[in-house]
Amino acid sequence: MNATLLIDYLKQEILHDETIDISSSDNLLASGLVDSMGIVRYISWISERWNIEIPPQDMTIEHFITIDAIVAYLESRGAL
Amino acid sequence: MQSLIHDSIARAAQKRPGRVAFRCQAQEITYHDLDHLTDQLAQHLQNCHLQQGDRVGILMDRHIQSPIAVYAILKAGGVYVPLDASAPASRIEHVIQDTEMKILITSPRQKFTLRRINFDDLAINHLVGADMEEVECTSWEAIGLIDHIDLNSDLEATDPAYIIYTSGSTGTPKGIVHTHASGLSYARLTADTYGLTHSDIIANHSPLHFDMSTLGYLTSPYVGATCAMISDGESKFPVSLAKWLQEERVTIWYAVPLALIQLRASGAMDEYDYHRLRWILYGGEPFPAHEITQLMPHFPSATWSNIYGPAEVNQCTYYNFSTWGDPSAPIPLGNVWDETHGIIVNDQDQLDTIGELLISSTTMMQGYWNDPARTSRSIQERNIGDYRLRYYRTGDMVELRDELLYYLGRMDRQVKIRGYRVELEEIEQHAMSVDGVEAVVAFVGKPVRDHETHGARLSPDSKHICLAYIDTAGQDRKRELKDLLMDKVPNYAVPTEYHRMDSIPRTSAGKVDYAALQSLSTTS
Repeated sequence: MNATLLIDYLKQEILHDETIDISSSDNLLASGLVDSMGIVRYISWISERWNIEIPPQDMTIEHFITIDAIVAYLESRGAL
Repeated sequence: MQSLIHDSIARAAQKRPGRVAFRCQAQEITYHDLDHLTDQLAQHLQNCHLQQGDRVGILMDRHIQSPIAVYAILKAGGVYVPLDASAPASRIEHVIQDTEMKILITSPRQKFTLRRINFDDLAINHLVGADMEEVECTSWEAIGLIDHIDLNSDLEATDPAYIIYTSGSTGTPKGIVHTHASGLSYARLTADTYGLTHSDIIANHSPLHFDMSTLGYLTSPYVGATCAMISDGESKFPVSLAKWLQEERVTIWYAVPLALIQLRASGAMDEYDYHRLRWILYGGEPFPAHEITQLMPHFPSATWSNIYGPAEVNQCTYYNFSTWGDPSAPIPLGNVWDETHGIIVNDQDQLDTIGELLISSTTMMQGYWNDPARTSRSIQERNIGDYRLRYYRTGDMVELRDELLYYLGRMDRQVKIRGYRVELEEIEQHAMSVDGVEAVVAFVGKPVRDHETHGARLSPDSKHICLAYIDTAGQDRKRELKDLLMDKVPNYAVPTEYHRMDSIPRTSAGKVDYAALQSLSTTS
């Protein structure tokens, strides 16, 4: 559910490509998918959607490399 | 004496086979293994009928497979052409068509980029590292099984080695052709200028398609050092990069200023110890001195060097400093390095102390790919004493003051965004093709501040491009313009602000009034 929500927003609002087939384990950071400004916008949306403050020290590869990692991070923050 | 770039690998493999050549994302490859794997891939390329001088594309994220591709192509006698995976498909297809490449080396991680490319009209008949139905493919695993090596190559130092594409003012990117000689001169001169040795660990921040990657890809193997490659993830998350920089025991840093500015803004540097760093090298654009003076305490053992040089000449000047007094004073370009002659020419084509910088160097490109007219416009032959030298016209205005060169600005409308060259005319050319748009001016807006990126602190003070336009029907064309430009130019060149106007502001002399346009720029 949450993974689907994250993927849908990524496709529609960040990548502007609804036909792209992204799985929850795909590396989102490898070049050719989301650029650095896109990452900023995505994190900003996640922060608003789940109503949590994401402190700078939490903005790391481990938390945002895949949709699975983002879900795990949101769970660890008690947001899900 | 070494005359070919790839001979660095065999030499390092012989001297120190177990030394790590490249490292990235917890993976590493020794010189011995790099020598072997590049032999295998080179053999595969020759088995695929690669002819000497053929162009081979590299479409890769930051990964240790990337240097394997580079050196295998060179060993096979080919010319490597890095492709920017984040560029629009039309731009990638243009480079593939322009170079008439038949083979592309990539990886399964590039599946999202590969699906955007339309292979129907391209001459590519073989992909390494992909799995697609349209084209014949070979996996990286299959390359590793090749055991019969019998490479033929008859290369000379003056043969092309690689082509780097950069923004072109006519609307299409242009290819800068470097030879084994010019690439190797760059490796030798950087090694000598900074006293680099096999015990160094050189951080590579730049993607392969950006010319600043040559220090990591060419110089590091030339001296037998370890190149620690910053991954795409680390390049996007400064907090992760701050930790990486200590853990990798980096001794040499080379990147655009923004990388260090973001690192400091992340607030994560205080936790780490960077005393191993002995050189902080930067280039691509000016580094604000007030940022440097705040960064200096984090690197207690480092000497800084301001590196300047258009991709056409690799590097050509340097200015070294360990302290900096006045945070508001500009840092000079310094002086030209060895094997290089620089002259300043005024608008009367006479030698002067203020004017355009012309550079003649062993590190200079052969020319622009497939474009003799552009090459002859940018290169000027001049007699200096008894010599006749070829000079590259940098298009950069400089001043010689107290025996040091200072950067004044551009002669044309090229701008730098995050170190990347952007020709504003290219954006305008594309924008004019939108129905109803009858006049456009692209310009650089005011910097975006930290808090406007939602406290994300990933891109403080980044410059961005704005577009002012007139529409015949008085309609808002932002959507059409943005959609079109996202398909035509790299993401850093896509304007973030669009201003529909009734007329373009002009000065009393009739020129576009950029100051007036800039004042329109909101910090959106």
